Amino acid sequence: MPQLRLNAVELELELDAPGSSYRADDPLLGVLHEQGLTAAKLGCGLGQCGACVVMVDGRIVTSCDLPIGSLQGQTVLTLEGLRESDPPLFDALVRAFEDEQAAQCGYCSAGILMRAAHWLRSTPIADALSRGQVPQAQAVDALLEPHLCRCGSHLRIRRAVLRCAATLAGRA
Amino acid sequence: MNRAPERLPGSLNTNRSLGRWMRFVAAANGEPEHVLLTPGKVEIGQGVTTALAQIAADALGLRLDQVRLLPADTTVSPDEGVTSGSLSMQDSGTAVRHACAQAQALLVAAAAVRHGLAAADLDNVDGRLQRRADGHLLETFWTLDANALIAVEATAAAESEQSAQREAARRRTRRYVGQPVQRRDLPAQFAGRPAFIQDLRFDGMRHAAVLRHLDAHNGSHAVGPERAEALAALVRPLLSKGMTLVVDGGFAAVIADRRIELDRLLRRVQVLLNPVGRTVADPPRPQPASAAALTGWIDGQPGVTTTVFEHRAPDAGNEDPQSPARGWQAEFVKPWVSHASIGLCTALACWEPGQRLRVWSHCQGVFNLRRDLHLALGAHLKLELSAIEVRHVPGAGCYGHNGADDVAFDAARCAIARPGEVVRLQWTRAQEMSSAPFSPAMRVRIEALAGPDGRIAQWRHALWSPGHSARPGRGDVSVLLGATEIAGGVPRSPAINPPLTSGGGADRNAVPPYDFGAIEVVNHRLQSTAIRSSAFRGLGAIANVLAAESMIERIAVDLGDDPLQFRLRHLGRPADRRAREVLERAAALAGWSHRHERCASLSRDGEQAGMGMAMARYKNLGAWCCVVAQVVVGATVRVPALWIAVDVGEVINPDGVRNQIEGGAVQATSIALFEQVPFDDGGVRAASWDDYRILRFGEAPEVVIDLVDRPQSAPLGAGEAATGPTVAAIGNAITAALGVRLQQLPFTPERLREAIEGVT
Repeated sequence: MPQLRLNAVELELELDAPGSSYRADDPLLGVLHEQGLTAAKLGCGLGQCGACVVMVDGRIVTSCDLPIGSLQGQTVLTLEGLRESDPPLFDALVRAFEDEQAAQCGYCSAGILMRAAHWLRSTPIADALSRGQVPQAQAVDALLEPHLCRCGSHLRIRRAVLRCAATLAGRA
Repeated sequence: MNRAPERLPGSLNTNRSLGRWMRFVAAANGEPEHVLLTPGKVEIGQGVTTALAQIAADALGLRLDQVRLLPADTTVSPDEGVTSGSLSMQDSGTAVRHACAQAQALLVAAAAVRHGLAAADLDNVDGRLQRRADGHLLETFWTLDANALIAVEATAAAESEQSAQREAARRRTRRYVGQPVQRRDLPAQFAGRPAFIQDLRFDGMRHAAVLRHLDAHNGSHAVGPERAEALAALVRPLLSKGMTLVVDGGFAAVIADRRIELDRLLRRVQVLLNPVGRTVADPPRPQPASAAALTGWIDGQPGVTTTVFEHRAPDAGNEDPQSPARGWQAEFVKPWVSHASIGLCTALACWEPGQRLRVWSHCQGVFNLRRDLHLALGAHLKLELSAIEVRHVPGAGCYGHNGADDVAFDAARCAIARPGEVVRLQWTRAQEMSSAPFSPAMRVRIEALAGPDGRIAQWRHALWSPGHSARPGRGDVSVLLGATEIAGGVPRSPAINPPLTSGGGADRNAVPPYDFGAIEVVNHRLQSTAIRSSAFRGLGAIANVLAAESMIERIAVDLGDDPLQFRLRHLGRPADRRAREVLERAAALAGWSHRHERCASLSRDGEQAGMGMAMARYKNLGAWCCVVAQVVVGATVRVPALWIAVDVGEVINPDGVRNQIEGGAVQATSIALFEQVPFDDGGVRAASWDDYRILRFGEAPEVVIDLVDRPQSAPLGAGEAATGPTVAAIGNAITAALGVRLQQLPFTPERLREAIEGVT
């Protein structure tokens, strides 16, 4: 009876039993959507575009191709959960994306925001930010390389992540 | 006495009732009083709903937060056709402005009459109508019977007693218009709240998937029942409790209670299919086997040849054969290009037997989709047109006629099998890549002669291309993919081209904007329906502007002229003023005159830099746009920077225009460098992002934009203006860097090698 923590909720997913709800190879994204969480988007189902990115035990993962059977006892954090669990970071990110108008269609945004959130609170970046240092644009490009954007909003998205970093570094 | 109806602005001309455009909504359920704008244009990621709200707020004299928008809905909205062609400001913006100004005037006049005053004695402050003399509040828009007052036809000019009020409104007209108002739909998206059709859920909703061979393009109208039955035979043993298999002629689909169950089924079906989704038994069909064979494929297609434009200079018959003109000719090729949206085409439908068919869609035209759904299903369901209701819900980015309409049919056909239930159908990534219409391949040949005066005396632009529009709502039969597959389905219709007078299709921007002596444009429309082709951002402008602006730059260089000055010399007519201005502004922005120094500093071992320019007026009717591109060419092409000057007339939202131009230019960079639909002997071979490369973070050029604002001019669309010029400017920059010209898109390392080695 695998259990996982989804944002603030303990979930018990019965796997592979006859007539059970879930199977070990069901992708995490399907569970998120059944739980009414819509921030993570289905884009490819193959882990190629980044629209479905969430965090699992502090790691960044594509949820569309991650079997839930591997998640026993782990903690899944979606953008909805980040909003509740880390309001300062969530607010800084959303504000920066709004200030830069960093989208056209916005379909890729949620995955990118999760990747950026993960990065901004990772040890080396968080330490640099606490010293008032803001990362380079190239570092943001490298960070976001796994994400596809079709509308051509790349420059604005990069600016938004840098703006958020500057805010967190107290440089805004 | 009957008079011909007066001409009204934009779509108001064909939807003349003011009440069709807006509704005044009283405060209720914690929501404050507001105006609900109901335009027929739709949000496709371009920010149109924000721009229309800006226009409406100013024209009604309201705050922006007092204006809300209802997504287009066939039961409510005016029929504004398709949200396409960069026409929303021309069609809808002008209509909304006129309708809202007239509504304001009617309400002010009614309040004045009620209080025994003249309209000019009243001020409108955010919908509060006050006596001007003392500021005393007399009425608000919501204390008047506003919806009854605007249930009238619009008129071309305001009545005389309204003109003073209109003048007052005009003074306040630009409170929001012209300002970089933030998009109103983005906060929900950034916060991860439900915002897209992909997020739309109803209680008890069912989930469906269409079982379509991933070479649906091949099918023409030959996707026979035997192929659907073969797929159904694969699926039938895998069906679990509660699932419904729908087979109708060549159409097959599965409906399940839960999406997660459907996904399990699809994963197992995919195991039974080869990696690109074809069953082994499927026979290969004749196709362009590879991009390299594209020109051969084009040559082999039957076509219809039309001279779409011909202009002879007054002295064109008097060329002196003794002072021979210098001649050039070259061919340019563009491959099939995919829409490749990040989201998957999705629709919801609910069939209420004998009553109505409800459809939720991210299509570009709710009325057009309704018409083709009716053509395909109306007789079978015994439904009047009005019994089909289509509501727009925003989807992921839309760059033209993608699969949004097709998936709506798929969902509707499934919903018929589960009466009374809402059925949600979403395509797979592989279907997204392989079933949706593509931007068609094109070949363009340009022949030019320059006279002894160094001016171009003759110009001939010939193009070969399938039609660029196969949109629903325009023909006698349904063009929806599923409608060609069901039992008794209709043959697939060849794509057509809109007339040149409204911007053209394959021939879009084929008529050069320059003052050349004689111009001839010939369109060979290929009639093949083997590959579905339809409108994609820019239509023919991508290939036509690439070809024409490449040739201009080549001739200028061959004649020892500067490409900027050469263009300006052919733009001496008064009507060319705005074209000249974007050229000059882009050149100034990019430092064109010292481009060689700029590039020298970027060139190093094994890498050479170059800059090139290109200019077009989109459709020869819309926005003027000039792009200067800088490239660095080594084993691959990098585009570090683009400088763009654009003239869209009156700017409604400067940041919105910049966002569209920037996005269009970055997407065009992707098209220039990477994009081509892959084919093999069996047909389309694109099933995932591995098969269709688009630009990634780190590959986007810096984009610097100079926006010409002309508040006195008509507003023009910005969405497609940058596409053609960006592709062409990158091509010209590569030539400036290397000295050789790449004439087939995309500009891949392979094409670079071919060009350098002299292989054509």
